Amino acid sequence: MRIIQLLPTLSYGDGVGNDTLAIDQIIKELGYETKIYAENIDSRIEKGIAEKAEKMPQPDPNDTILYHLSTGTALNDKLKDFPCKKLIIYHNITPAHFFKEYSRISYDLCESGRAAISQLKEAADYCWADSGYNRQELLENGYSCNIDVVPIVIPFKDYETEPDKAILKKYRDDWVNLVFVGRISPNKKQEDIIKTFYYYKKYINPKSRLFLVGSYSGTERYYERLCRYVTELKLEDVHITGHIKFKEILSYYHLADVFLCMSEHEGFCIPLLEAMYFKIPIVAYAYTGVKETLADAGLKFTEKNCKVAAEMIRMIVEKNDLRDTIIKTQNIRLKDFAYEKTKEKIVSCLKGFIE
Amino acid sequence: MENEINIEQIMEEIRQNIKDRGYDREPLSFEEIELSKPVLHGAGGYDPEEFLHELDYLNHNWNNSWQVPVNGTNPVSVWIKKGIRKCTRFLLFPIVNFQNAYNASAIRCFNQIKEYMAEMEEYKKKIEILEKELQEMKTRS
Repeated sequence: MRIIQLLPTLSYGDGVGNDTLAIDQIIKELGYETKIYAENIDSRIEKGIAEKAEKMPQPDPNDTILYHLSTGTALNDKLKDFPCKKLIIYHNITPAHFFKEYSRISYDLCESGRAAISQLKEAADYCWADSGYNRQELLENGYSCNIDVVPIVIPFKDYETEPDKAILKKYRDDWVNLVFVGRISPNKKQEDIIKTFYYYKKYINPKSRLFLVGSYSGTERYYERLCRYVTELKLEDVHITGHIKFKEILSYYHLADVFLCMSEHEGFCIPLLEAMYFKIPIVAYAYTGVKETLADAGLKFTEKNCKVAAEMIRMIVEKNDLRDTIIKTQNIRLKDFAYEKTKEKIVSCLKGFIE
Repeated sequence: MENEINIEQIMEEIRQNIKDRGYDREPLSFEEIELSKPVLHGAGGYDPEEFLHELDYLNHNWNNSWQVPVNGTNPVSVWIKKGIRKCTRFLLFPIVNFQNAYNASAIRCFNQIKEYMAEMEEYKKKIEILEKELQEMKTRS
């Protein structure tokens, strides 16, 4: 009896990639035979950990496939034909309309991915959802099998890595640093972060910077539009990093005074947990998966208003007691995602399914 | 409780601050920033004008010469560069020839696609006429 993890792309350092590798490790510790197969494998992934999906042998009826549903792919069509138990791990797929103006490729992938969600309901014997929000989407798509909320495994130990010293030296001063970490992507509404920073810098505190830390590969037209927006606003000290090394990302977390999230679609939003880990107070638009990931932590608003967000940032920067209280709420929430707790949940859910 | 944030109190203070701060003109909205033309093929959807423009460029620029012009104000450096160019001819000539052959084949394909698309457009027009006639016949009967 083998447990096979199957996914479209095994990337290095992203949420789905880390989750897959962590689950692989947990399954091995349980003593099961397991392998990861992916259509695309990042060259930085250690050799031997995963193989190309085309090399996957036909599963036995006794095998179990853990299928990571996160995008449109031909694998979505093939899954129902495998004659074994199928556990779908639903990571959410960005609604296609966010990409309509920017990328036909991304639009088509998201469109076909979203269509696959309901098409796979009969194929699934059991589901895991990263969040209650994701679970609810599966239910709305007609899933009748058991669905458990199993958070993404976060490699918190990796965050102890030494940050990049040059970046710290460049920006560590008495200025206020606002940070958002996440792909430059239309659903994450980086334009609203820029607009909030505009209000904060022009009306409240000119000694401030904004760092948008994330790759814009695949969303170049959105990135260009953001850059022109910054220029048209005559806004200085906005830095869009693009794809950078992990230790450089860590530097921005170390520099951050406030983490600002204005996203309009997230299934989970791992950077929120990263901000909590680095004890950065969070100001966020509580919508889709963000609301649940934060729960009672951070400073949230439910009606999007960039002036309100700017004033929230001001209050956090100027009022130490508010800042400390926010960080306390975040420390409590972060415990819900501790590695041992998530691992325990994975082991109990997995054993319950395969045994 | 120590860990509770009084959001109502915070929002009240914020509303007052917004009033007092006198945020004057609304800044430019993001929607007013025009999108750039797609760089990658298909990135923004099919655009017939762009397709013909690019095809025209390809048809006029597929054939490259291995002899890159050498310019300069210093006659000695120009002479040296020409010498280097002559010495690397044995390498450059076959590579450029191969690339030109590839370019020619690719452009022939694109030109065929253009012809095919034109034929499909004709068929599309015929279908529209026939559908209209069918609808009229259904209405009459």
